[in-house]
Amino acid sequence: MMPATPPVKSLPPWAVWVIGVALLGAAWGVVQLTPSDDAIQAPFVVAASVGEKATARAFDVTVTDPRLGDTAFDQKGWYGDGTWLVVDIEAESRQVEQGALLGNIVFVSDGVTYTASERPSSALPLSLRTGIPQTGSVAFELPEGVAQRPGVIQISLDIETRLDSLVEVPIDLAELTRHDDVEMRATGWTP
Amino acid sequence: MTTPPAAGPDSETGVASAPAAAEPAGARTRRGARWVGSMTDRVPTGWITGILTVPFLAVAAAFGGLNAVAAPPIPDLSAGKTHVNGPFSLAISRAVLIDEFPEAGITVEEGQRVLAVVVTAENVWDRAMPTVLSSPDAALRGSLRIPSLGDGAVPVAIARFDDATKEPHLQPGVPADLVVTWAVDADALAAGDEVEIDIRDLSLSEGVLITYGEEWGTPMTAAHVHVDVTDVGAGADAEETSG
Repeated sequence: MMPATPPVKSLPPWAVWVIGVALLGAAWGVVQLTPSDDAIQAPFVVAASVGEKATARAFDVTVTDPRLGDTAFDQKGWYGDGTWLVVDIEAESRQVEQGALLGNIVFVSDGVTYTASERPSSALPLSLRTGIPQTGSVAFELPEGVAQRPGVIQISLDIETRLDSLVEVPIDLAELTRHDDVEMRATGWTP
Repeated sequence: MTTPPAAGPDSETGVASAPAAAEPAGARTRRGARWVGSMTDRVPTGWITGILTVPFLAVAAAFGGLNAVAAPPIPDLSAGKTHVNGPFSLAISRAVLIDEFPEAGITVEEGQRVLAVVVTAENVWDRAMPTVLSSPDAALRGSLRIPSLGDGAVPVAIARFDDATKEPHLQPGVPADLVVTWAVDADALAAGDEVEIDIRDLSLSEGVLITYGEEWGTPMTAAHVHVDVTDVGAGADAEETSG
């Protein structure tokens, strides 16, 4: 004798539609939650304000005293006209000195990236020492219009920032006083 | 046979239908549709694309769509005219011959002189760019050539005019006067000669697989700039740069 087969219960048609739409919604949600390829390799952002020490993977850095001017000059007789943003940085490596070369300091405003100028003698690149902070200046040469805009200073060891620490220090240039001359300090041990 | 005698003409197509007298107009339309259907059934399917292509080509030809397209002419620019492409806005203002120009980053051998070209360059991209990269076809160095000099005609050095910074970066939106130099044979050019400098447009490529990021390369000549050469001799009077 055959065992009694349980009666097959079929779902009502409305339930099939509801479940189908729910599954589509869930699939859409999964797509929205999945990180993009860029996000998988994104740098680890260490946010800090002006004057606050930021602790990255391999180094500590403090950005101080942002100043805007029509002319920047360094301690070796160089000067340049234009629109200059000069900041001081104090930095030291945390664990090892080998490979601790602070080589990437940029200013980003409205999605446009300006690198710290190589024209003056500046703190870039800075060979970091462990436990012995050094201080110096970097200068950004900007278009005139950017001097009224907010931006972010980004600092990392290498221009390759993927999957490494990236220090971000926001600066609103509109809040800074515009000077005629801005002086860059010599790079050396922090006094 | 179920066909009534009144539908005699229809019986030739082998389809039974209502008596023709009941709806004569509708029957005639249906007969026309059947005729179209039976005719197109005999056209091989492969012909249909050909039959559609012929009138398409005929219409395209009627509007001149099949005429040979002339290659876009490469414009001739004079000194001081600005050429804008993807990464740069470039204006070549003058060209000078000079015996030596170490401040611009170039050293020449015996029997050679320096051809220095003053270029006003502005970075119109969204990030700072170096003027010189390892590839001679990249960056600003890849954008400038003087084919008449031969030997690849690649610029030897690029420096800023104002403070002689070698191989400077170009910051976005900040124009800079640059001195781009070539080494030329001493008798190759003389004062008053016209030199033709090619500006080449670069195209942006995005790295995939083993490379990453974006890069300007693959130069294509986009403009010929004609500049008269002046000779400043040893050059101590006119072309010194100083910070």
